[in-house]
Amino acid sequence: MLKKTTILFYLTLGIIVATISIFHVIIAYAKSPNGTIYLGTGHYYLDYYYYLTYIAQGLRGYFLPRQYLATDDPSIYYHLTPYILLGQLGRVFKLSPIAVYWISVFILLVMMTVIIFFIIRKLLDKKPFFVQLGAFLITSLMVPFYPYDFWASYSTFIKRFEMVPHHLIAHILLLLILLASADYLKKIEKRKLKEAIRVSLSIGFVLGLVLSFYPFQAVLFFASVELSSFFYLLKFIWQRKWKIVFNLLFFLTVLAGMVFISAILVRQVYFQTIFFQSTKGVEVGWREIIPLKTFLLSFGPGLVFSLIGLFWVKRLLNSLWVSFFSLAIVSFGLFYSNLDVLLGTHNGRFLTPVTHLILGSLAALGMYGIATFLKRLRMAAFLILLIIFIATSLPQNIRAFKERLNDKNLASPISYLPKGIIEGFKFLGKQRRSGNVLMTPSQFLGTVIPVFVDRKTYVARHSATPNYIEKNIRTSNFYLGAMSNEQALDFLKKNGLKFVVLTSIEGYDVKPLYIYPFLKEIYKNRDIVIFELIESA
Amino acid sequence: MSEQKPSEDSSNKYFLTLLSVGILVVFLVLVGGIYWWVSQKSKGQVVFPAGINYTGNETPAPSQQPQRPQYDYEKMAGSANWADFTSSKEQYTFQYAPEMIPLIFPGDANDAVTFDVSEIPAQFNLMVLVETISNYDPKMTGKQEEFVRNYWKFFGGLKALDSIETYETENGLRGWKAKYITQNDIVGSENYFFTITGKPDKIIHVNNIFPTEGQAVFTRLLNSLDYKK
Repeated sequence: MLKKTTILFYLTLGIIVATISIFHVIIAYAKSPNGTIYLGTGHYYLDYYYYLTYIAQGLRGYFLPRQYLATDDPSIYYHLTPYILLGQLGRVFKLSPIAVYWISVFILLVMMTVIIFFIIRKLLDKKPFFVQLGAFLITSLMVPFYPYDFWASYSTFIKRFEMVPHHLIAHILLLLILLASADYLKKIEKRKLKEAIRVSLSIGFVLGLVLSFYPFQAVLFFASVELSSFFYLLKFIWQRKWKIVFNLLFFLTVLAGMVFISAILVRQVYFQTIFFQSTKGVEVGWREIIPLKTFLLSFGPGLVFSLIGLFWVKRLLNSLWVSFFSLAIVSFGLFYSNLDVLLGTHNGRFLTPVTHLILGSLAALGMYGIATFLKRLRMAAFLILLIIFIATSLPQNIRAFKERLNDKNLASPISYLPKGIIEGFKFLGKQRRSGNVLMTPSQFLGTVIPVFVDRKTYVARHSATPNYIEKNIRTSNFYLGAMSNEQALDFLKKNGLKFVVLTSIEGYDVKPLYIYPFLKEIYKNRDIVIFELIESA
Repeated sequence: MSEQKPSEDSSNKYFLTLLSVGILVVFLVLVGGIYWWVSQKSKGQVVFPAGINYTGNETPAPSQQPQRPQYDYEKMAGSANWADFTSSKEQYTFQYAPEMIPLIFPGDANDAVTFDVSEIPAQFNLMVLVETISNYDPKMTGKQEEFVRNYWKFFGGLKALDSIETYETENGLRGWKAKYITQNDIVGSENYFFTITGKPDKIIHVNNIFPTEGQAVFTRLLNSLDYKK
C-alpha cells in the first residue's frame, strides 16, 4: 500500500501536470472578450463540440449516444458511450457539459500521471527516489532534436498529455492492462490454469471495452501483451517446462479469442456507422511514412541517454520491462506497417505517448549509470545532468505551448460566442415542442446547438452529417430566400424541422425568414432570432 | 554498484510532505497570478469571419450591399507580378493576380478557395476544392473517371452529364474537363478534375467561376495549379 506522504507527492505531480496541460484553456478563459462566453475549445473545436454533444446527452439522462448532427441518421454511436457516462456523472453534481469535459480531463490527467509515476517507480524499483523522479521528469519533458519532428508524434509535453477524455480513459485502462499482464508473467511459474483463465478473461474484457471506443490503441496494447507473453513462451519452451508452456498458450489463446470476438462486435457497431465511413477517407489521408532518421531523432537527447541506459537495464530486467519493451517494439513496428490501411486509419494511430515512459526510465538509468562513475558525487552528477537535460528541453516545450495558444483549430471563430446567442440556445432548450432545429452552415454552429438544446440539427459538419454539401447548399438556399414558399415549407416538414435559428455571426440577412408565412418569431435579442414552424402550416 | 531502497523514515516523510505542499501552493499561486494578470491586461477581441449582422429588428433598414470588386481582367492576365497561393491544408498551390483576394473557409474539410468574381455569393461558388471520393460513394474510390462521369448524381440541382474529355494543364496535371446539365436544362460552366498521384480517394476539383472576360486569367491560373507531392 502506498503511504499517505507518497500519495500526496503523487497527487502534487498529477495536479501540476494536469494544470500545465490545460493551461491554454485557462489563459483563453482569462482572455474572454467582454459580452462573450468562452466555450472551452482546448481541443480541435469541431471534435470538441462533438464530444460535448454526448456529454450533454448524458447530463439529460440518456444512456445511449444518439446522433444529433443529422436529422436522417438514426444511428446509435456506441463508441461515444464514455461521454454519456461522464455526462451521467456530471449530472450528479449538476455541472455544465463544458465543466464536465474539463473536470474529466483534469482528473484523468492526474490519474494518468499518478499511474505513470507508479510504473516508473516499479521499473526503477532498485534505484533511489531522485532517479525515479528524474525518470518521470525526462518522460514528461523530453523533446526532439530540432527540427526533427512530425505531425503524429508525441514529441513535446503538450502533445504527450492529450486532452481528449476517451483517449485518457483508454490510456489509463491500457496501462493497467500492461501492469496486470506483467504481474501475471512475473510469477508465471507458480500460476495455475485457473489463474490463466481469470487473468486472460479480465484483460480480454478490458481490451474489448477499449476496443469499443479507442480501437487502434487497443490493437497496439493487445499486440504488445501477446508479444511479451510470447517471449516468455519461447523461454519456457527452451527450458522444456511444458506445464507453463501450456498455461501460457492457454492465456494467449483465450485473450486472442476474446479480442477477436470483441473486434467482430465492434466492427458491426462502429465501422458501419456513417461517422466512421465518412471519416475513414480523411483518416487514411493522414497516413505518413516518416523517414527513420526523423522518427528516431524526434525522441531527442532522451533517446541517446536511453541507449546508454541499456547497459544497466540487465540487472533490473523483469516482466514489466519486457512488457514495455514489447509495447515500444509493437508501436514502432506497426507505425511502419500497412495495418493502418487495412483498418481504414493512419499509421500515427499506432504511436502512443506511453513509449516515452520506457524511454524516460531508460534515460534516467543511463544518466545515473554515467553519474555512478563519480562514486560519492553520483547524486550531484545525476542532478547536474538532469538539470541540463530539462533546461535544454524547455525552449521547445515553451515553443510548443505558444503554438497551442495560437492554434487556429483551438482558438476557433466560435470559441467565444456573444452571450445573447447562448441565452437564445437556452431558451430553445426549454421549449416543450419536439422537433429538429435548423441553423446555417456558415459558422458550424450546428455542431454547438445540440450541446445546449436536446434536438437534432439538420446540418453540422462534414464528417458527421451525411450528404453535408447538398444539405449545406439546401440550407443556404432556405436562409437566402432562394426557395419558393412551398419548397421551403416542404423542406422543413420533410426533415422534421420545427425551429429555425439565425445568429448575428453567420453573415445571413434575417429578412427572408420574416417573409416565410409559416414561420413565427418566438425569441429575439440582438444576437439571435428564433422562429417556430406554425403548427397549422 | 550498491543501491539503496528509497528510504521513507520520519524525517524524509516530513521533508516530502513539506516539499509536496510547498510546490503545490507555489504552483497554484503562480497559475492564479497569471490568470489574473491575463484577465486584467489582455482581453481578447473576437473577429467573426462572416461579420456581424443585426438580427434583433424584424424590419431592419435595407442594408447597403457591398459592391463586388471590378477587375481589369485584360491587364491582370498579362501582369508579371502574380502571387503564389497555398491552400490552408497545403494540399495544392496556384498563382493568381494579386488584385484578387483568395477567399478561404476556416476549418473547411475540402480545403476550398474561391474568388469573388461572379454574381453568385462566393460561399456557393467554390473554385478549387479537394474532393474526397468516398464521401460521395466509397465504391468509387480509385475510379476517378467514373466519379467525374457521375458527379452530377450527388447534387439535386444537376440532372445529367453534358460532355467529358481528358485534359492536361501546362503544369502536367492530368484529368478531365466536364460540363453538367442543371435541372433547368442549362449547361453549366466547365469543371476540371485532376487526379492526385498516390491518393486514389482524392481529386482536385476546379470550377470555372470566371466571367467571359476573365477567361484568360482563369486559364493562366489553371495552368499554374499544382498539388503537394
